[in-house]
Amino acid sequence: MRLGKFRHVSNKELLAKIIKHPFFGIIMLGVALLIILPFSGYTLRGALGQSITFTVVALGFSILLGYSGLASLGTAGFAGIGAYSLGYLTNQMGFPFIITLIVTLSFAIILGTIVGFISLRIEGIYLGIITLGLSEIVNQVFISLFGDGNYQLSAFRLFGIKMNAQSTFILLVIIMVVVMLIILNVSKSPTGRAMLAMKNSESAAQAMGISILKYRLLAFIIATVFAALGGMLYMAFQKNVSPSTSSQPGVFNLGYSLNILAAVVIGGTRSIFGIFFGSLLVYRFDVILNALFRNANINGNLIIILSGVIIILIVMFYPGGLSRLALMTKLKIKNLINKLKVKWKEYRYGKED
Amino acid sequence: MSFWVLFAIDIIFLVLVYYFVNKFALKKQGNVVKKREKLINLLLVAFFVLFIVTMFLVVPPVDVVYSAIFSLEKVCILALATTGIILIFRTSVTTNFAQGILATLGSYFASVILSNYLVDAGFPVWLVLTLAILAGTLFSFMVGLLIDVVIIRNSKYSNPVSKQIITMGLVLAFTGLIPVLFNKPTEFYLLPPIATESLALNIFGYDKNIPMRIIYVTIITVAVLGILFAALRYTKWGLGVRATASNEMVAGMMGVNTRVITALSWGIAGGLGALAAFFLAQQMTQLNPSFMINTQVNGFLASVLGSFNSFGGPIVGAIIIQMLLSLLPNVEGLQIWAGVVVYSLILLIVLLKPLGLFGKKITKKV
Repeated sequence: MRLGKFRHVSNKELLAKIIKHPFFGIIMLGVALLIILPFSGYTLRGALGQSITFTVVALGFSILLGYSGLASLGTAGFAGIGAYSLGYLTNQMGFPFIITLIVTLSFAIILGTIVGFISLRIEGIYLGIITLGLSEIVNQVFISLFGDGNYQLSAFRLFGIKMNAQSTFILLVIIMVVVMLIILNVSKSPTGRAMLAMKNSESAAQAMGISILKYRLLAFIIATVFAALGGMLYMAFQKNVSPSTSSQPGVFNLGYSLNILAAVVIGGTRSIFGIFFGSLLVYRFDVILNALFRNANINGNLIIILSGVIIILIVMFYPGGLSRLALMTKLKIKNLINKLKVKWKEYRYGKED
Repeated sequence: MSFWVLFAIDIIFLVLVYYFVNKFALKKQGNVVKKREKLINLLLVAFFVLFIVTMFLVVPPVDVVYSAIFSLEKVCILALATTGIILIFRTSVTTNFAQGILATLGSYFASVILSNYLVDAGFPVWLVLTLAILAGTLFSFMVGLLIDVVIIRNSKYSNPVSKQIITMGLVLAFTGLIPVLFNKPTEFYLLPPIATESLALNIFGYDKNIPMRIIYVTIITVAVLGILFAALRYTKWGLGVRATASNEMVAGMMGVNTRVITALSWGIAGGLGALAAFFLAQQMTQLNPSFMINTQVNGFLASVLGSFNSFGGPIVGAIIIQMLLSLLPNVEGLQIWAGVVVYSLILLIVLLKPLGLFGKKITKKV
């Protein structure tokens, strides 16, 4: 008779089971962000909200870079499409958010398919620059259609309710958590493993019966859809974008794509939490430091220099990124504690012979 | 006839030629792949010729010639920047995103040298300008050299992507550094024009004025690039660069000091970038930290168009891109869409020839 299944589960065991579940950390992150919300001022909320939109984009990009090994610099263009389409469809056409979402994401899927087909023909560093060219085309189209200035969203409504900054922030957190769960599931599924195989060796993957065409297209579609979603969220939160060629964050140019790449690499190309903290570090490190240390009055330029130096140092010495660094530190601390325990025993009970 | 009709006729004609030659002439002979490549090359050249002819038919010839001459300056700037990018790519196998900001740093330095030491020194104007350009170029050269020696060489696990991200970190660091280092009011950072007078020309019976500065810029660029390519072809350093470019490890085994070669390439690329930035600054009222970004993006696209695997190809790519960008706005209805059309064309060409116009196929081993 099998008893295991009906065995009594103690509360402690249940708690351990819940904590060990992979979803737990992600949902806790969302809860923590929601708890911070009432206490955060205008600047901190803005910084966190922007970082969340970048995280959504970067998570899609991690499927591309971390799992499929494809380098793309067109992220800015895809995110820009999301932002401008939300602005245009809401301002000019008066569509509700859900229809806008469907229209934009289906457009992103078409675009992702096209780029996926291009990626079958062009590889490596060339693919990066071709996607950069694609992003430039998109940017030029924005400038031609909407002018080389700010483009504003008049009002953001969800189910007919006008959203203010706080409620939009809640929406952002919920969507980010959902996206994280999706990415987690994709990466643990046969799809994710097939992509990893494709990254390591294309020929070997093909020999095992993995269709390169299918998984490349899939990787690009996931990346473009999440990039467009991130762009929409950015527009909904910030209510203002511009295509001009300054290097401000949120402006959809080369700098944006590079920052996404940097966020993913700094965080660790396959780590969900790492990417979240990487986005925080790359985009809004200055605001967060200033919010944490109220009286420090840190110069913005010094922070930019600092984050540049941190990027360089991480790439130079810790190629696994922040997640790897955290793992290593944890291991080292564990070792240290074990060593101290042994020392303490030696001190207390004398040396074993 | 409108531009679009002629353009469509061009494209249809070329596609038909390709189809028929492919079907009736090529299929009967051996070695089809190589010949098809040749055919595509010829058709591309024919496309550019037809394009120029179409331009002359649609736009008054005066405007075409005038804007072509006017675009020479931008062509030179792009060619210099592209050569820097390609030099670093060939020796370090990475795309250098810090090229633009390095050049910007050089031009800021030149402006400081100029206004602090040279303006009141009483030298003649040409000497002052030469010294300023030299100072900026030298400064960027030194910084580029330092980047390679201190950072790129010491990175523990180096692959192309990680090097790329290091250069992006440099972009961030320098973007923050420029306002801290050069913190005087913005009016201070000006670069004086190389020449203010202009040359009166008679093009097809119309009187047009062309600034002398364009001619000077062209002469300087041609001289610099000429010297560089001669050095690549005939000196020991050039041989080293070409050897490192084809295979760094084997070059090292054969006694080429690849470290010196790579470091020098970074330095020279920095210098070329600074020169480009100096020329670009001629068209602006004052310097700002992001004024080289556009040039840099175009430089990357020119490198892809001309092929990353050759030294001369990217320059041809730069000429094509910048000429098209300058000529197309002359066509009615294309004023704001020129960028879109040009970038789409580049994309199509690269899809036809993934390795660029002058790329040679390298067989990949599993």
